[in-house]
Amino acid sequence: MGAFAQGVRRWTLDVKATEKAVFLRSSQMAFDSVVTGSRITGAPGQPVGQYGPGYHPGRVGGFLRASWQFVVEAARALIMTKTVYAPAIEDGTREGRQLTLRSTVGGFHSVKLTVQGWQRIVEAAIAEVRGA
Amino acid sequence: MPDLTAIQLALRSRLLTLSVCTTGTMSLAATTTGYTRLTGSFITDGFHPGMEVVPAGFGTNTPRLIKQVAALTLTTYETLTAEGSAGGRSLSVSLPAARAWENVAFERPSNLHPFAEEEFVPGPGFSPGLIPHGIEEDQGFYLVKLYGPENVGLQGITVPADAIRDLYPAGDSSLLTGLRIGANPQKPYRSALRPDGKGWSVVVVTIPWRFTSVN
Repeated sequence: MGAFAQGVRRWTLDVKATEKAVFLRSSQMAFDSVVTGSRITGAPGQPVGQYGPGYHPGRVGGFLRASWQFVVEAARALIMTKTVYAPAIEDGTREGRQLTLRSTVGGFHSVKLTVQGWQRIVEAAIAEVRGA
Repeated sequence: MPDLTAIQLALRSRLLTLSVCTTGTMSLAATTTGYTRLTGSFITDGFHPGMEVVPAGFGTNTPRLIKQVAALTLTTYETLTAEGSAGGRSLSVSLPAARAWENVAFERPSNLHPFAEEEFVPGPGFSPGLIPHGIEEDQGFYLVKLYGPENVGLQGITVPADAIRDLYPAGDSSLLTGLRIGANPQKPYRSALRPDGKGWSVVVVTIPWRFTSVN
Protein backbone atom coordinates (compact mmCIF):
# COMPACT_ATOMS: atom_id res chain seq x y z
CA MET A 1 0.00 0.00 0.00
CA GLY A 2 1.38 3.36 -1.06
CA ALA A 3 1.82 6.35 1.21
CA PHE A 4 -1.17 8.10 -0.34
CA ALA A 5 -3.44 5.08 0.17
CA GLN A 6 -2.20 4.76 3.76
CA GLY A 7 -2.98 8.42 4.34
CA VAL A 8 -6.48 8.04 2.96
CA ARG A 9 -7.05 4.97 5.13
CA ARG A 10 -5.78 6.75 8.25
CA TRP A 11 -8.02 9.72 7.48
CA THR A 12 -11.02 7.43 6.98
CA LEU A 13 -10.38 5.72 10.30
CA ASP A 14 -10.05 9.09 12.02
CA VAL A 15 -13.35 10.27 10.58
CA LYS A 16 -15.09 7.07 11.68
CA ALA A 17 -13.64 7.33 15.18
CA THR A 18 -14.72 10.97 15.44
CA GLU A 19 -18.17 10.13 14.16
CA LYS A 20 -18.53 7.40 16.77
CA ALA A 21 -17.29 9.68 19.53
CA VAL A 22 -19.75 12.43 18.51
CA PHE A 23 -22.58 9.90 18.35
CA LEU A 24 -21.83 8.56 21.82
CA ARG A 25 -21.36 11.99 23.37
CA SER A 26 -24.50 13.38 21.71
CA SER A 27 -26.56 10.43 22.91
CA GLN A 28 -25.22 10.77 26.45
CA MET A 29 -25.99 14.51 26.42
CA ALA A 30 -29.54 13.80 25.23
CA PHE A 31 -30.01 11.28 28.02
CA ASP A 32 -28.68 13.74 30.59
CA SER A 33 -30.97 16.42 29.18
CA VAL A 34 -34.05 14.22 29.60
CA VAL A 35 -33.17 12.96 33.07
CA THR A 36 -31.28 15.71 34.87
CA GLY A 37 -31.75 18.68 32.56
CA SER A 38 -29.51 20.65 30.25
CA ARG A 39 -28.57 24.26 29.70
CA ILE A 40 -28.09 23.44 26.02
CA THR A 41 -31.70 22.35 25.44
CA GLY A 42 -33.36 24.15 28.32
CA ALA A 43 -34.89 20.86 29.48
CA PRO A 44 -35.47 20.87 33.25
CA GLY A 45 -35.02 17.12 33.71
CA GLN A 46 -37.38 14.80 35.53
CA PRO A 47 -39.09 16.03 38.70
CA VAL A 48 -38.72 14.05 41.89
CA GLY A 49 -41.59 13.25 44.23
CA GLN A 50 -41.54 15.25 47.45
CA TYR A 51 -41.61 13.04 50.49
CA GLY A 52 -41.16 13.57 54.16
CA PRO A 53 -43.11 13.94 57.37
CA GLY A 54 -46.79 14.14 56.58
CA TYR A 55 -46.32 13.62 52.88
CA HIS A 56 -46.18 10.07 51.54
CA PRO A 57 -44.60 8.78 54.77
CA GLY A 58 -42.27 5.83 54.36
CA ARG A 59 -41.79 6.31 50.65
CA VAL A 60 -38.76 7.52 48.78
CA GLY A 61 -38.95 9.81 45.74
CA GLY A 62 -36.99 9.57 42.49
CA PHE A 63 -38.59 6.48 40.98
CA LEU A 64 -39.29 8.14 37.62
CA ARG A 65 -35.88 9.76 37.38
CA ALA A 66 -34.15 6.46 38.18
CA SER A 67 -36.29 4.53 35.73
CA TRP A 68 -34.82 6.16 32.62
CA GLN A 69 -32.41 3.89 30.79
CA PHE A 70 -29.71 4.58 28.26
CA VAL A 71 -28.81 1.74 25.91
CA VAL A 72 -26.33 1.96 23.07
CA GLU A 73 -26.71 -0.54 20.28
CA ALA A 74 -24.62 -0.88 17.14
CA ALA A 75 -25.93 2.14 15.28
CA ARG A 76 -28.43 3.70 17.63
CA ALA A 77 -28.93 4.81 21.19
CA LEU A 78 -32.14 4.23 23.11
CA ILE A 79 -33.40 6.58 25.82
CA MET A 80 -36.42 5.01 27.42
CA THR A 81 -38.55 4.42 30.47
CA LYS A 82 -41.30 1.97 31.23
CA THR A 83 -42.79 4.06 34.02
CA VAL A 84 -46.48 4.24 33.30
CA TYR A 85 -46.92 7.86 34.41
CA ALA A 86 -43.92 9.20 32.48
CA PRO A 87 -46.11 10.55 29.62
CA ALA A 88 -48.30 12.42 32.13
CA ILE A 89 -45.19 14.03 33.65
CA GLU A 90 -43.85 14.84 30.20
CA ASP A 91 -47.07 16.60 29.18
CA GLY A 92 -47.85 17.95 32.65
CA THR A 93 -51.43 16.68 32.68
CA ARG A 94 -53.45 14.42 34.92
CA GLU A 95 -57.19 13.87 35.22
CA GLY A 96 -58.01 16.60 32.76
CA ARG A 97 -56.04 19.35 34.42
CA GLN A 98 -52.55 20.80 34.42
CA LEU A 99 -50.22 19.28 36.97
CA THR A 100 -48.78 21.53 39.62
CA LEU A 101 -45.01 21.22 39.87
CA ARG A 102 -44.09 20.62 43.51
CA SER A 103 -40.64 19.17 42.97
CA THR A 104 -37.75 21.48 43.71
CA VAL A 105 -35.86 19.94 40.79
CA GLY A 106 -36.88 19.05 37.25
CA GLY A 107 -40.09 19.88 35.48
CA PHE A 108 -42.21 18.98 32.47
CA HIS A 109 -41.53 18.67 28.72
CA SER A 110 -37.93 17.47 29.02
CA VAL A 111 -38.25 14.99 26.16
CA LYS A 112 -39.80 17.58 23.85
CA LEU A 113 -37.16 20.17 24.71
CA THR A 114 -34.40 17.63 24.20
CA VAL A 115 -35.71 16.64 20.79
CA GLN A 116 -36.04 20.29 19.83
CA GLY A 117 -32.50 20.97 21.01
CA TRP A 118 -30.94 17.97 19.26
CA GLN A 119 -29.06 20.08 16.71
CA ARG A 120 -27.55 22.13 19.56
CA ILE A 121 -26.58 18.94 21.36
CA VAL A 122 -24.74 17.64 18.30
CA GLU A 123 -22.95 20.98 17.89
CA ALA A 124 -21.87 20.89 21.55
CA ALA A 125 -20.72 17.27 21.23
CA ILE A 126 -18.67 18.07 18.12
CA ALA A 127 -17.03 20.98 19.94
CA GLU A 128 -16.19 18.72 22.88
CA VAL A 129 -14.80 15.91 20.73
CA ARG A 130 -12.74 18.27 18.63
CA GLY A 131 -11.37 19.94 21.73
CA ALA A 132 -10.43 16.61 23.30
CA MET B 1 -34.51 40.41 22.22
CA PRO B 2 -37.62 38.46 21.29
CA ASP B 3 -40.99 39.61 22.57
CA LEU B 4 -42.15 36.24 23.90
CA THR B 5 -45.60 37.56 24.77
CA ALA B 6 -46.08 38.73 21.18
CA ILE B 7 -45.02 35.29 19.96
CA GLN B 8 -47.49 33.55 22.26
CA LEU B 9 -50.35 35.85 21.29
CA ALA B 10 -49.60 35.39 17.59
CA LEU B 11 -49.69 31.61 18.00
CA ARG B 12 -52.92 31.88 20.01
CA SER B 13 -54.53 34.07 17.34
CA ARG B 14 -53.88 31.38 14.76
CA LEU B 15 -55.38 28.75 17.08
CA LEU B 16 -58.61 30.74 17.33
CA THR B 17 -59.12 30.38 13.58
CA LEU B 18 -59.45 26.61 13.85
CA SER B 19 -62.19 25.08 11.72
CA VAL B 20 -62.44 21.29 11.94
CA CYS B 21 -65.61 20.64 9.95
CA THR B 22 -68.89 22.29 9.02
CA THR B 23 -72.10 21.65 7.17
CA GLY B 24 -71.91 25.07 5.64
CA THR B 25 -75.08 27.18 5.59
CA MET B 26 -78.00 24.95 4.70
CA SER B 27 -81.42 23.70 5.77
CA LEU B 28 -81.31 21.88 9.10
CA ALA B 29 -83.75 20.81 11.81
CA ALA B 30 -83.41 20.07 15.52
CA THR B 31 -85.10 17.14 17.23
CA THR B 32 -85.10 16.28 20.93
CA THR B 33 -82.14 13.96 20.33
CA GLY B 34 -80.02 16.00 17.92
CA TYR B 35 -80.01 17.50 14.43
CA THR B 36 -81.23 16.30 11.05
CA ARG B 37 -80.73 17.21 7.41
CA LEU B 38 -82.40 16.14 4.20
CA THR B 39 -79.43 16.39 1.85
CA GLY B 40 -75.69 15.80 2.10
CA SER B 41 -74.04 13.83 4.88
CA PHE B 42 -72.76 14.58 8.36
CA ILE B 43 -70.31 11.71 7.88
CA THR B 44 -68.89 13.15 4.66
CA ASP B 45 -68.66 16.58 6.29
CA GLY B 46 -66.31 15.06 8.89
CA PHE B 47 -68.32 14.98 12.12
CA HIS B 48 -67.42 12.34 14.72
CA PRO B 49 -68.68 11.26 18.15
CA GLY B 50 -66.96 13.16 20.95
CA MET B 51 -66.72 16.42 19.03
CA GLU B 52 -68.37 19.57 20.30
CA VAL B 53 -70.70 20.92 17.64
CA VAL B 54 -71.72 24.57 17.56
CA PRO B 55 -75.10 25.32 15.98
CA ALA B 56 -75.85 28.62 14.26
CA GLY B 57 -79.20 29.98 13.13
CA PHE B 58 -81.26 27.90 15.59
CA GLY B 59 -83.39 29.22 18.44
CA THR B 60 -80.82 27.79 20.83
CA ASN B 61 -77.20 27.78 19.73
CA THR B 62 -75.56 26.17 22.75
CA PRO B 63 -72.58 23.90 21.88
CA ARG B 64 -73.50 20.20 22.09
CA LEU B 65 -71.52 16.99 22.47
CA ILE B 66 -71.95 14.55 19.58
CA LYS B 67 -72.98 11.04 20.56
CA GLN B 68 -73.54 9.41 17.20
CA VAL B 69 -73.17 10.35 13.55
CA ALA B 70 -75.22 9.08 10.59
CA ALA B 71 -75.53 10.55 7.13
CA LEU B 72 -78.69 12.52 7.88
CA THR B 73 -78.75 12.48 11.68
CA LEU B 74 -76.44 13.90 14.31
CA THR B 75 -77.32 12.58 17.77
CA THR B 76 -76.22 14.57 20.84
CA TYR B 77 -75.84 13.63 24.47
CA GLU B 78 -78.03 16.54 25.51
CA THR B 79 -81.80 16.78 25.02
CA LEU B 80 -82.69 19.60 22.63
CA THR B 81 -85.78 21.65 21.88
CA ALA B 82 -87.26 20.51 18.57
CA GLU B 83 -87.21 23.07 15.75
CA GLY B 84 -88.58 22.49 12.26
CA SER B 85 -86.35 22.47 9.22
CA ALA B 86 -85.23 25.90 8.07
CA GLY B 87 -82.50 27.35 5.90
CA GLY B 88 -79.67 29.68 6.90
CA ARG B 89 -78.41 27.30 9.58
CA SER B 90 -75.14 25.52 10.11
CA LEU B 91 -73.37 23.10 12.41
CA SER B 92 -69.64 23.49 12.89
CA VAL B 93 -66.79 22.11 14.94
CA SER B 94 -64.00 24.52 15.80
CA LEU B 95 -61.85 25.13 18.89
CA PRO B 96 -63.89 23.94 21.90
CA ALA B 97 -65.81 26.72 23.62
CA ALA B 98 -64.01 26.00 26.92
CA ARG B 99 -60.42 27.24 26.67
CA ALA B 100 -57.79 27.29 29.38
CA TRP B 101 -55.54 30.22 28.56
CA GLU B 102 -52.39 30.60 30.63
CA ASN B 103 -52.89 32.26 34.00
CA VAL B 104 -56.63 32.73 33.51
CA ALA B 105 -59.00 31.11 36.01
CA PHE B 106 -60.59 28.07 34.40
CA GLU B 107 -63.01 25.35 35.42
CA ARG B 108 -63.15 22.13 33.44
CA PRO B 109 -66.55 21.58 31.80
CA SER B 110 -68.61 19.51 34.24
CA ASN B 111 -70.41 17.81 31.33
CA LEU B 112 -67.20 16.34 29.85
CA HIS B 113 -67.36 18.61 26.82
CA PRO B 114 -63.97 18.88 25.11
CA PHE B 115 -61.72 21.75 26.11
CA ALA B 116 -58.38 23.15 24.96
CA GLU B 117 -55.49 24.23 27.12
CA GLU B 118 -52.50 26.22 25.93
CA GLU B 119 -48.97 26.22 27.30
CA PHE B 120 -46.12 28.33 26.01
CA VAL B 121 -42.65 26.91 26.62
CA PRO B 122 -39.71 29.15 25.70
CA GLY B 123 -36.38 27.44 25.20
CA PRO B 124 -32.86 28.83 25.50
CA GLY B 125 -31.70 31.54 23.13
CA PHE B 126 -28.51 31.38 21.10
CA SER B 127 -26.20 34.00 19.75
CA PRO B 128 -23.16 33.37 17.56
CA GLY B 129 -21.19 35.75 19.75
CA LEU B 130 -21.15 39.29 20.97
CA ILE B 131 -21.27 40.68 17.49
CA PRO B 132 -23.04 44.05 17.13
CA HIS B 133 -26.11 43.59 14.96
CA GLY B 134 -25.55 39.84 14.90
CA ILE B 135 -28.37 37.39 14.54
CA GLU B 136 -29.84 35.89 17.70
CA GLU B 137 -32.05 32.85 17.63
CA ASP B 138 -34.62 31.75 20.18
CA GLN B 139 -36.74 28.67 20.04
CA GLY B 140 -39.43 26.96 22.03
CA PHE B 141 -42.82 25.45 21.52
CA TYR B 142 -46.48 26.17 21.88
CA LEU B 143 -48.51 23.31 23.27
CA VAL B 144 -52.20 22.81 22.73
CA LYS B 145 -53.65 20.10 24.93
CA LEU B 146 -56.98 18.91 23.66
CA TYR B 147 -59.08 17.10 26.27
CA GLY B 148 -62.21 15.12 25.55
CA PRO B 149 -64.39 12.47 27.12
CA GLU B 150 -63.12 8.90 27.40
CA ASN B 151 -64.76 5.98 25.64
CA VAL B 152 -66.51 7.89 22.88
CA GLY B 153 -64.18 6.99 20.04
CA LEU B 154 -60.92 8.07 18.53
CA GLN B 155 -61.72 10.79 16.03
CA GLY B 156 -63.61 13.06 18.41
CA ILE B 157 -60.22 14.20 19.74
CA THR B 158 -57.67 13.13 17.15
CA VAL B 159 -59.32 14.79 14.15
CA PRO B 160 -59.45 18.23 15.84
CA ALA B 161 -55.88 17.65 17.10
CA ASP B 162 -54.70 16.96 13.55
CA ALA B 163 -56.53 20.07 12.39
CA ILE B 164 -54.70 22.12 15.03
CA ARG B 165 -51.36 20.67 13.92
CA ASP B 166 -52.19 21.50 10.30
CA LEU B 167 -52.94 25.12 11.24
CA TYR B 168 -49.19 25.57 11.72
CA PRO B 169 -47.36 24.38 8.59
CA ALA B 170 -43.62 24.02 9.04
CA GLY B 171 -41.79 26.99 7.59
CA ASP B 172 -44.75 29.35 7.93
CA SER B 173 -43.40 32.83 8.70
CA SER B 174 -46.61 34.82 8.27
CA LEU B 175 -47.57 35.03 11.96
CA LEU B 176 -45.04 37.59 13.14
CA THR B 177 -41.88 39.17 11.77
CA GLY B 178 -38.96 36.92 12.73
CA LEU B 179 -41.16 34.02 13.81
CA ARG B 180 -41.07 30.77 11.90
CA ILE B 181 -43.03 27.60 12.60
CA GLY B 182 -40.85 24.55 13.11
CA ALA B 183 -37.35 24.29 14.46
CA ASN B 184 -34.98 22.40 12.22
CA PRO B 185 -35.50 19.47 11.81
CA GLN B 186 -38.80 19.50 13.67
CA LYS B 187 -42.24 20.25 12.37
CA PRO B 188 -45.46 20.40 14.40
CA TYR B 189 -46.64 17.02 15.67
CA ARG B 190 -49.20 15.52 17.99
CA SER B 191 -49.02 12.86 20.65
CA ALA B 192 -50.93 9.63 20.84
CA LEU B 193 -54.36 9.72 22.45
CA ARG B 194 -53.78 9.10 26.15
CA PRO B 195 -56.29 8.31 28.91
CA ASP B 196 -55.77 11.00 31.54
CA GLY B 197 -58.07 9.76 34.29
CA LYS B 198 -61.39 10.91 35.78
CA GLY B 199 -63.18 10.39 32.45
CA TRP B 200 -60.80 12.44 30.33
CA SER B 201 -58.57 11.63 27.38
CA VAL B 202 -55.94 14.00 26.05
CA VAL B 203 -53.92 14.62 22.91
CA VAL B 204 -51.04 17.09 23.00
CA VAL B 205 -50.16 19.07 19.88
CA THR B 206 -46.61 20.44 19.90
CA ILE B 207 -45.83 23.42 17.70
CA PRO B 208 -42.10 24.17 17.65
CA TRP B 209 -41.19 27.73 16.78
CA ARG B 210 -38.01 29.65 16.06
CA PHE B 211 -37.52 33.37 16.33
CA THR B 212 -34.62 35.26 14.85
CA SER B 213 -33.76 38.81 15.74
CA VAL B 214 -30.86 41.23 15.50
CA ASN B 215 -29.08 42.02 18.75
